Amino acid sequence: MNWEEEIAQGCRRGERKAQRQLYETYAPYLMGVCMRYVCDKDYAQDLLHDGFLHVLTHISQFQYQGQGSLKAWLLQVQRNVILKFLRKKDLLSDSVSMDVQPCIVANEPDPEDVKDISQKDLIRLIAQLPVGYRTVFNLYAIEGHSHKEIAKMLGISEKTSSLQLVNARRLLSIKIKSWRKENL
Amino acid sequence: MIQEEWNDRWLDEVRRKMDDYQEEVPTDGWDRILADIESMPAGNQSPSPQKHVVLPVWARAAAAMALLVIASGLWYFLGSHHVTQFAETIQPLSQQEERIQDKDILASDSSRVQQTMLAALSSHRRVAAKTTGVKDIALPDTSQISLSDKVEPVEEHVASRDSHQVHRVEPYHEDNAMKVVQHASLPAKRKHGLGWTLGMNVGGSAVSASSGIKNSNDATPLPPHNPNIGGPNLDASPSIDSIPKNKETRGVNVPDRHYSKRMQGSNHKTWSFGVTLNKQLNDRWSFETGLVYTLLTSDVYPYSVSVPQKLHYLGIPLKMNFTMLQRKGWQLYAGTGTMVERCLYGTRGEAKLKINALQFSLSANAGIQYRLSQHTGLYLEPGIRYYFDDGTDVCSFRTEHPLSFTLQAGFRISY
Repeated sequence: MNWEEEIAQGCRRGERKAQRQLYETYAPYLMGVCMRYVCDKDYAQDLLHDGFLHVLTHISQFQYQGQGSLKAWLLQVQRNVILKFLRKKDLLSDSVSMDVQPCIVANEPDPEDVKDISQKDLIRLIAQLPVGYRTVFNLYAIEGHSHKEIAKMLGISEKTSSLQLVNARRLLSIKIKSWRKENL
Repeated sequence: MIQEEWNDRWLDEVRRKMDDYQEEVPTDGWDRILADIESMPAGNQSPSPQKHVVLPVWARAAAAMALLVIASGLWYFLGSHHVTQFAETIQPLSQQEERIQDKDILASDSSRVQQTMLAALSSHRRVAAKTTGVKDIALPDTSQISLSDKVEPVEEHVASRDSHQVHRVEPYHEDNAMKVVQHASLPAKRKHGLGWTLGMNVGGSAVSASSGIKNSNDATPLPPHNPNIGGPNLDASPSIDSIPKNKETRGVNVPDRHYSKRMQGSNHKTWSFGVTLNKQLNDRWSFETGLVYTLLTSDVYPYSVSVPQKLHYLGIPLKMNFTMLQRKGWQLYAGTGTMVERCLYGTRGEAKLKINALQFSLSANAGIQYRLSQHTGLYLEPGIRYYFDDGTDVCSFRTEHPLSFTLQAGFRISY
């Protein structure tokens, strides 16, 4: 039996050892996901806590579908907890209003420009994006969802999702170039 | 196009960097999670998927029994025997005329009695018109109303266009009142399965009708009454008096039970307000309690005139609910329980009523809830409730109709 299956089975049986192993293996990754979305350590820790509770109490819903499926399922659960939090706090709506604001046109960076930036610095730059831009950017550029899926998840139109992504790209491009000027 | 591909490449680089990004977790993170998990009941630590719900035999039997009880209650209150009783209760117009001729009525009461009679006659005109389709019904001039002790058989003589025919009056549910039964909130599915649910109910009722018996000097049978006991309930029972046949005491019909001691009353405008708490015991069962305030308003007839009576009850429901089905925001459940109530304060006219006896009741209901959001829902609960005799002589809807059908609607908040 695959390791992911084994640990999921152990968690289903309520084995503390398996649950702890699951936490220690995936909590840092899920904490990183939380930080990508909320960019606040306290909020991220609370969301990780809620997300993991949800994982452990709903582990029976997980169906193993090959290697990596457990991680994908964990990401899905954690993302749902995060998006619920953002909706509840009404943090997504402010970005919609920014759709109409003109964005400074910028030349987008080269892939090499991004390579030079550390993970910590890159996430700090992403954190500076407005919540709505950042959320769509995370969903599209990092997690690979389509605008149709994003629209459904966030309760917005595909056009809004697309516009927010364009603005997020432009804004992040400016920040990357600015960072390079200051640090390199 | 080249530019776009080029641009997507920097995004690919961002994705590659962020894809497996990890952050340091809090040192006490696992301990907090463990503490929360261990505080949950065992059944909810890892709920099984509810893809296909198959109820055990005993649960299906319980659900069937609950439905049977509710159906029986419906039959009881909507059944034909009550129609007959109502027909028996309605007196011929000529008889009413005779009854009002009671010479024992005090002079000061006569005008009030006549006013009541006017209302009764007006009502019966409409009944007769409905029944026969004939507009002109031979009714006595209200100015010529008189009283007598004679009790006539339950038939109404109506003047038709061509001939005088005898018509049996069908029940006229003019005062079929809204009835409210306060009761519990249902178990709501919680995030961790064992949450508390707060239910709030407000109920009201329309005008009700008379009960079946009066004092000997009482002249006019009033429309039947309907009680109200809690959240917005519709009383399915036809508002009819249940005076048995051939019972005559000093010129008036007297039923076998209660009424020899209790005064007659007409109950109306009863309201209930309540707050209930529901504790989810496991995926299926939940326990419910709370506080329910009920106001029973009646007009009683200790003498020839009516006297307003108000009874303020505070009750504590104890109830178990069983969730039978849960699909796409809909929840079907059944419940049974008891409620103990105490009359906090009562008045009859200017006088205070002191009722020390506790009022016990049993209830059974089905329920359906639709969740509007994660924390809110609307629910509808048809059911029946049986009030035990509290041993007092105070007349109320509960003494008149110990078994009553209830229909409650409410709003539920779950956290």
